[in-house]
Amino acid sequence: MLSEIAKKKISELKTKFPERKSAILPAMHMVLEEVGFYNKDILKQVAGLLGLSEMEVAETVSFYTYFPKEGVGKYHIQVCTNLSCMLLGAEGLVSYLEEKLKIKVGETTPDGIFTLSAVECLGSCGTAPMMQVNQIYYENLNRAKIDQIIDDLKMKK
Amino acid sequence: MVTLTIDGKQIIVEEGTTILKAAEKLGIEIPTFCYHDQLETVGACRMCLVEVEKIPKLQVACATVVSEGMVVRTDSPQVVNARKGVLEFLLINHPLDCPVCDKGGECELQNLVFKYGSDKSRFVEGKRRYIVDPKSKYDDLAIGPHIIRNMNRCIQCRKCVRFINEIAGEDDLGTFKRGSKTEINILPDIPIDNPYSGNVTEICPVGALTSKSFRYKIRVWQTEAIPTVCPQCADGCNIRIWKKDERIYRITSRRNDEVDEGFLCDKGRFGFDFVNHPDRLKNPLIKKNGKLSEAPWDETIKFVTSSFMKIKGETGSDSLAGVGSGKVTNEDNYLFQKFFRSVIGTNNIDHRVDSKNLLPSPDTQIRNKYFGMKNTINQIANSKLILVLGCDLEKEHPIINLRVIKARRKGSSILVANPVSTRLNRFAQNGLLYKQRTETDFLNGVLREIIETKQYDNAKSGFSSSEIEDLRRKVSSSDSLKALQTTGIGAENIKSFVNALVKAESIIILCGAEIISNPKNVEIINSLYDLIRLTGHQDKDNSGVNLLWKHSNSQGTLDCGILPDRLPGYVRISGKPGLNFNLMLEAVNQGKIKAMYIMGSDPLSEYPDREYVKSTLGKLEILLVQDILITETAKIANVILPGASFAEKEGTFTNVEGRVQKLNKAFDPLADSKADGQIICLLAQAMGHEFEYRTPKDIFKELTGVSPIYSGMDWETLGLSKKQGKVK
Ligand code: SF4
Ligand code: SF4
Ligand code: FES
Repeated sequence: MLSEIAKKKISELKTKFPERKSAILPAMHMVLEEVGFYNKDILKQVAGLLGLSEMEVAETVSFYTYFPKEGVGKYHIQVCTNLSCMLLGAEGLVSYLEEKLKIKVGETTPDGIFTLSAVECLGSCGTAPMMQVNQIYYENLNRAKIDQIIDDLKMKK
Repeated sequence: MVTLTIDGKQIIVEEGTTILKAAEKLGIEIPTFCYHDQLETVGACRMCLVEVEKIPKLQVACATVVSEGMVVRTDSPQVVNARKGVLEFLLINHPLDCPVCDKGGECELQNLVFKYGSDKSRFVEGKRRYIVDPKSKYDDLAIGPHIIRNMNRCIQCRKCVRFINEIAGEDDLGTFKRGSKTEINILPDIPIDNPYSGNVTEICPVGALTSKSFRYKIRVWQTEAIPTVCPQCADGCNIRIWKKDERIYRITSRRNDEVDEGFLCDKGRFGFDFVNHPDRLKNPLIKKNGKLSEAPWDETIKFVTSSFMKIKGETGSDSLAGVGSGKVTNEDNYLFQKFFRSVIGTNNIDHRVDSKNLLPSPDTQIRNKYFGMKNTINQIANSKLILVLGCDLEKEHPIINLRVIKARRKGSSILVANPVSTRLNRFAQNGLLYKQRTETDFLNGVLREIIETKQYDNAKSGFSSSEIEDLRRKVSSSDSLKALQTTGIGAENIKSFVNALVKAESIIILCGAEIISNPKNVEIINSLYDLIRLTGHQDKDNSGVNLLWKHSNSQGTLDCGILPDRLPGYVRISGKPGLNFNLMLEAVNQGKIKAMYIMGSDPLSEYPDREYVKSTLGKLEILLVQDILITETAKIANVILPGASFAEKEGTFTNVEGRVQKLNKAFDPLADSKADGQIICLLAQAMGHEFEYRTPKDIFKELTGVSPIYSGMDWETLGLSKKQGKVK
C-alpha cells in the first residue's frame, strides 16, 4: 500500500537514530501523510523496512491515539477526557456528540464520515475543554461551538 | 563497601546495592510489584517507596542505590501512607473479583492490600472493563494455547512482557495503548506460543494471566505442594507438584538459581498429563494365548522368576539381558544393575537404546571427554562465546537455551552450527548450516584455518610443535580439503567463524543429540577438544566441551553402572564385559539371549531401526517390560509390570551437569502399580536374594558407599545447599 518513495524514505530513517525504535514515529507520520490510516499489513511493512519486530511497531503506534486505524471515518473526532477537560465539562460534550452523531464513543457513522473517540490529554489544558479533528485542534468548546464545527464539516464532506 | 542504616539497623553492603537488596539482607520486607530480580529494574509501580533522610521525596527502594551514611526508613507514617495510596490507586480499576479469580489465595495484590492497604474504599464510580466478547466468562480471553488473559485485573507491572522480551527473547506479547487503557496483548491472531509462555502465569502478580489447564479446577489452598524435580529433560529444573489426593493439578517452579533461575519450559510445566492418564498401567499383565491379560502380582513375580531361573539354568546367565533407562531414578537403576549382576549373574546391561553409535565408557576419573558436561549450567551465561553444535537447543534443553540467550544479552557471541536452522539461530552472530554427517569435515576446516593462519595460542595450548604439525598435516591433507567442499560451508564463513573463536576470552561448546549419536561422535569430540586447546581455553572455568544428554537421569544412569563394561561409579569390570544394546540384539538373533527385562525404556520408539528391533525382540522367549504406560515395546512383551511415575516415588535424578537432586513422593503409586525399585526387590527376593531396602534412602546410602563419585552425599540435605549433590 505504500509507494516506493515512501518505502525508500522509511528505510532511510533506519540510520538516522541511534535507537532504531525511534524511527517508528517519523515513519508513521509518513504513512499518515500517504495513506491516512494504518492497518495490520502497513504495520508489518513498516516493521520490515525498519528492521524491527511487528510487535514493537504495533505497541508504539497503539500508544498514540493520533494515528487512525483503518476503518476510521473521514473525520476523526477525538475529545480529550483527561483531567482539565473533564473538570470543564468534557463528559457532557462527549454525550452531546454521541447524541448528535447517533453513535457511541469508538464508533463510526454509517456514512463513514465521523468517528468519535475519547482520548487522553492532548496537551491543551489551557484551552479546555477541547477536541481534535484529524490534525486540527478545536478549543474552549461548548455545545454551540460543536454544532458549528460539525455543520461545517458536514458541508465540506 | 557502603554502610547505611535501615529502620535503625546498620548494615554494610557492596557498592551498587539497592535499598531493596540491603533491606532484604536485614530481613526487612519492602513490598514490590514491578520488581523482579531476573529482569531489568524499571521502578514503575511505586509500591516500594521508602523514606531516605535528607531527600525530600520518597524514593523507590528497587532502583535507588545505597550511599555512605544513608538513613532509610521503611516504617515511617509517610511510607505507610504511600503504600496505602499506591494500593488505593491500583484498586480504583481492579475488579476485586477474588471469589472467582484463580489467583485468589496466592495473589500479591490480595496479600499486599491485606497487609498494607486501607480498610475503606472511597471509590464509587464504575470500573474500567476490557470487554473482549460480551459472551465471555469474566472477560477472559485465550491469548495462547496455555494462557488466559483477564485484563480487568492487570496492574500494569509489565513483568510478563519484560520476561517474554528479556529472558525468553521472544516478542509475542506486548503492551498496547497507555494510561488507564493500557492493555497487555498479543498481535491480532498471533497467539503467544513460545516454549516459555507458562512462566507469565507465575510471574504475573495478579490473576490477569492464568493457566488454562489449572484454572477453575480447584482453589490453591486445597492443594498441597510437593517439592520435586522435572522428569521431562536432562536440565533438571526444580519444581513443585500441586496435588490433591492422587491427582496433579499443576506444576510450578521451585526456583534453584544454579539450575533454572526460577523458570520452567512449557513441556515441564504443562506436560504432566501422563501421570493421571486413564491409560496408565494398573495391574501386571501376562500374555496368554497371544493376549495380554491381568494377573495378580504374586503370580506374575513367580512366573517371571521361574522363567528367568529356567533360562539361567538351561543356557546360563548370559542368556539374559537388562535394559535400564535414563528416565528412572538412580536408586531404581542401581538396583536394576545389582539385580542383573548379583542375582542373574550377567553384565548384559545397557540403557542406550536410541543410537547405534555408542561413546566409549568413561573411567573413574570422571573428567573423561565422553562424559556429560564439563561446565556448570550457570557458567554458560558467563562464557564470552558459546558454540552450539548439532543441537536444537530450544527443543532439547529449554532451560540451558535460556542461559545462552542470557549470555547473548550480556554481550557474548553465539555461534550455531547445525544441519538445519534452529530457533536459536536468530541470536547467532554466525549461524552455519552444514550438510548432515559432515561435522568432522567442517571442524577440520575450522582447525585448519586456525593453524594455517597461525591464530592459535601456542603457549596456552600446551601442544608441542610436533603435535601441531601432526594436526596440521591431518586437517590440511588434500582429502580434508576436498571433504570441506561437501559440507556446504564456504571458505568465507569458516574464516568469520574462526575469527570469532580466536578472539573470544572463553568458549563453551554445547553438543546435542545429533553429535552424541553421530557415527563419528568420538572424532568430533576430539576435534572440539583440539579446538579448545588451540584457542588456549582448556583449563579455564568458563570454557569447555559439553555433551548434553537427553533424559532426566541419563547422567545418573551412566553413574549407576547401567553399562555392560562399568560398575557404579565407572569402576571397570574385571572380567569380560557384557553386551551393549546393539550386541544384545545380535545375540537375540543368534539365539544366545533368550530373555530381556526392559525397565522404563522403549526401544521400539527410540532405536534408529524400528523394524529390526521389533522383529528381534519378538524372538525372545521372555520379554518383560516395566513401564507406566503401554509403550510400543510393551505391546510386544509377554509380561508387563506397572511401574510408578516420578510423582509417586522418592529417589534421585542426576541432571545434565551432574547435580544429584531429590524427587519426593506426591502420592502413592496409582492403582496396583509399584515403584520400579520395589518391583526389582520383589523379583530378587523371589529368587532367594536378600534385597532388603525399606526406602530409596537405604539404596542411595548403599550407592554412596559403592560409587566413588557419589560418596559423601547426604540424602537429607540433598539439593538443599548449593554445593550438595554436585559431582565434580
Ligand atoms: S498481566 Fe500481570 S504481569 Fe502482565 S502487566 Fe498485568 S499484572 Fe503485570
Ligand atoms: S527445561 Fe527440561 S527440566 Fe526444565 S522444565 Fe523443561 S523439560 Fe523440565
Ligand atoms: S517495585 Fe519499585 S517501583 Fe515497582
